[in-house]
Amino acid sequence: MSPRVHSLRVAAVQIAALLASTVASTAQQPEHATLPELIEQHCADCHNADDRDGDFDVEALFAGAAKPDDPRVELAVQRLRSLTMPPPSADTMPDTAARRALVQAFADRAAPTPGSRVATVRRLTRLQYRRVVHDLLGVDFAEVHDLPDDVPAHGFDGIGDVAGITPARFEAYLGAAAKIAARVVVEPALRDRAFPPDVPLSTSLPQLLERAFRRPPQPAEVAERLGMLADLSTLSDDGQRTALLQSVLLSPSFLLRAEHGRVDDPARLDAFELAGRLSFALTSSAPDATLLEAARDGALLVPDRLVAEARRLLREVGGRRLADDFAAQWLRLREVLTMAADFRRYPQIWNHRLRPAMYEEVALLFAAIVDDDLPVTTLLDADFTYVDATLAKLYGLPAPGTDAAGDGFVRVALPDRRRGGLLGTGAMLMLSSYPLRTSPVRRGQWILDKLLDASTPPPPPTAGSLPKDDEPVKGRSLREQLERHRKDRSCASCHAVLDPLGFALERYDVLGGWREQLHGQPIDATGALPDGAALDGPIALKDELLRRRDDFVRALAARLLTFAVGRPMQAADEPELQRIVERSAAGGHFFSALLEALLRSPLFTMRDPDLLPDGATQR
Amino acid sequence: MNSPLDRRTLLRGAGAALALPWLEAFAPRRGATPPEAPRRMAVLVMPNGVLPSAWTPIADEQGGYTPSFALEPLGELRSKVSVLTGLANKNSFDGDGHYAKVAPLLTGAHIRRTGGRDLENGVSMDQLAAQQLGGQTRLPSLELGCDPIYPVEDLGYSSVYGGTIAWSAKDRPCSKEIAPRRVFDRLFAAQALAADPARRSVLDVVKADADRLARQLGNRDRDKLAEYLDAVRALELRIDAAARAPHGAIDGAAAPPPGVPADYPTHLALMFDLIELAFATDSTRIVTFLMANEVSGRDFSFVDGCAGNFHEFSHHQDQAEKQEPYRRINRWHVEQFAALLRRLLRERDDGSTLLDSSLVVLASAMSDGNAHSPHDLPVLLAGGGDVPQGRLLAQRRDTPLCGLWLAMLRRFGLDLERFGDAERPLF
Repeated sequence: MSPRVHSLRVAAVQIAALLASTVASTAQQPEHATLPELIEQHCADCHNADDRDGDFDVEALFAGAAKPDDPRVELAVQRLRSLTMPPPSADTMPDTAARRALVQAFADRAAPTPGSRVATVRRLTRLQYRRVVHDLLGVDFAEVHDLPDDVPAHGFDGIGDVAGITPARFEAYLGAAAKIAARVVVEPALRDRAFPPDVPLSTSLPQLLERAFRRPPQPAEVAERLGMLADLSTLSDDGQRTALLQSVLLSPSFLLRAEHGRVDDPARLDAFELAGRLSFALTSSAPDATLLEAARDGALLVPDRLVAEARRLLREVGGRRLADDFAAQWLRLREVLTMAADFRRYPQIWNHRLRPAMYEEVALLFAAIVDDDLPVTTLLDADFTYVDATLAKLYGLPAPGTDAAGDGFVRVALPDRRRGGLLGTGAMLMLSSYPLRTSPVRRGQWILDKLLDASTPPPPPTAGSLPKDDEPVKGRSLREQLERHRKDRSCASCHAVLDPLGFALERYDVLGGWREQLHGQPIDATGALPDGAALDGPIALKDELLRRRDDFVRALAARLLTFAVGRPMQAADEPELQRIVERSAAGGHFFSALLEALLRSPLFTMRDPDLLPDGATQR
Repeated sequence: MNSPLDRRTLLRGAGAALALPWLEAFAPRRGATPPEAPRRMAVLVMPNGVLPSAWTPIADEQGGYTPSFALEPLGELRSKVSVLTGLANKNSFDGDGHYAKVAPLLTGAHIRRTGGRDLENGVSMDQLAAQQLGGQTRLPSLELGCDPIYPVEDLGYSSVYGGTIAWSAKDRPCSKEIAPRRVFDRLFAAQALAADPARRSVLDVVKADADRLARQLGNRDRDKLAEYLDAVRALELRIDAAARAPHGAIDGAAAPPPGVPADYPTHLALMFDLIELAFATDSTRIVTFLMANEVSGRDFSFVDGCAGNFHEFSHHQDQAEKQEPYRRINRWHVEQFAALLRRLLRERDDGSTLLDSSLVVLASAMSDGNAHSPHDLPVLLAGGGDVPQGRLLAQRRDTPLCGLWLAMLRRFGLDLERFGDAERPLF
């Protein structure tokens, strides 16, 4: 037996087992080929040792021991998940179950480097800094925008790998600490809150430090600060308090969120670290007194208590914080506030209420899913949305009556399925458009990236671009120009997916208004995905995405974990992500079910998930 | 502030020496007072490359050049500005996309492809110079920009690479300042910092916190704590420097308004004011300025005929209707460079100019943006001292750009054998 055949056979056994479990969970799938055929059929025609299409030899990948974190694995997974491989020219397409099996097979080739799934120490984001300062000292530090910008990675601020404290940044923190401290000491109520007048400093300081550092202070941390005050005894009381507050606000234990694990088991988070992860994820702030108490006696380490604390926090602060932090970053919602459609073509953009209203609609929708515990698939399709007068006009809905809230927003039942869910929102539709025209390509990318956690590579530099307007060029419509583009083999594999997804939304204009015609021609919103699914308009697209709901929930879970844990999900996380999706599905994909599945997962509770709680490795 | 030598440098620069071929003119002449070494540098980087046909000037018989369309705005400054052609940064060849080209522009290093974990580049030439000058000014260096780091990766390269040209260590991108007011405050904050009687004590306490914390953490986290500690120490050095060399009154320098100006030309003009102010007050001698992050899609409506997306124009597909705005945007960047030079050419009290003692560079990490070409990079050099002025320095194809950085660093007193892929200085 040649080495190649042998290795494929070993892999075949693995994938057969996987298929068995996949087929079991999706009962009516047809029977599947074993891996040699799947690989031969779908990949090896081009990606073999001789042709090495795209410099990728699938036989070599499956032949030897995989190197840790082999980038080819991530690439293969991305291309499979985005439906951009196999290319449209392929004879047959894998169906959903076969595609998932292929993804899993590739993911299994990635051996994680030891420690590669441990998040790097994180720096407070500006949003967190402001919230933490407010919760700790009662100061609303609106000048937080004078701090240097956050550095995003993997779609989120506050990923430790790219966030350091440079000299410029430390100076900015110094300026901020001076301003905050000055505000506390001159305002008696704030001063007495930080330093209760009848309590000796030796008692109140440890309490202040515990809340600031999100863990009990070490004796030296208290002693050195008291020693500092002795050295500064010539200063006034206020001068001393100012110095003390600055020593708190500038400490690495305040500015950074370090996780070193338990003393006896560094792979696991200790109770305070777990409290921090939970609290920052759900409230963008430090643990409150109740959570610290649950950490102090270790009760938080019991999964049921962790879930209960999460429910309590969400009940107390509401889902809006998660919407303004997580969802706003996941969907890049803040960009809608500064995006500009061309005002000559779209004079509605002059209405200064329009863009904030677009943001508000999505934030309210997301918060409602949390607060009312709706299925997370409500993001794909909903029979209601939130509008104010401006949005109602844009959407052609009746203007809200007198029962609108103070901000003018009201929850409205929708007469049909054209709106409802992210796809019908002005925010999504404008974010994925150009100033003068819609972009089916960008809308397709948006759907793949946000809703399916799959990305297509950017076009090669010489790919060319479409006109900035949607006027026909040489008599050819945008659709016809894209169809020509798709004839180029190097363009086809991505555009065969992107274009039909995006064209399904063509009846929405740049701002998200509904249109039936463009330049006098009826809109053609039809298309077919590479695996055969026919699309025509947004309702069919929603149905298609609902059919792929497990992929959507997996995408949402992966993004929530990246946000909460501070590292991107990788191939090695795939089995645990699948378990989360299964548990969420068993709970009807209600928000509470997904949240509970996340909180009970070692991806959330462990510092290094390579080591499962029982000490066994993951596979 | 300036020594009498500056005056001589000015006279030399403007005088007969320019008539000689540049190599000869700038070799040390027997009997002549050696020209004073430059003391300051400003490196400006523009994104998205240039249209070669609009950029490359025609050589004239004296070793100078007839300006191209893009270089016309240099006008009378042409006698001060040399154009370098044929340069390339070899370590940027094999990375795809924009980010992999701009990140190593000033480091000459090979960057690691990563979305965030284990960023790896080299130390950039400006930071080497700043370390060499260490403590002579109130601020070792200034890193300026106009855009926050974008939230999008480019072909698996972290957006940090696309938005950072100054690196103080191979894994430490320097955060750049984009708000003019913050730059101003930073330039003149040190004395206020030093005035706080509790400052030292507070810093001692947080340093002790960091030492303790570092002992509990793994390697990757320890590196972050080391960076934190270095930042605290940098601040202490700044306070020391402010005590040694307090700045005098800042005549006529009004603090810019807070925030980031929405109008791009205004934003750049404020940054240029600050560079001039920083040099004039000797607050720092090293400035890097990333005029926009790589892949910038800024709308250049404020330039006639350039409404639309800069990055898309750069992928012009040889179509005239895209090349035209692209080359106009290139030209606009040269106008900005010229505007900075004019500020630095204002005569000071002693008759010298800041440019006499400065090296100012405008460069991009790509030539033709259409194909992301890393060859024949657009590079302009202006300044005083013994560097070539008003010349077209046509180099062989793919001559190391790092040779220019090495030439500059040697003039800043660094005893370097090589830098990046360059084994000898360009001049």
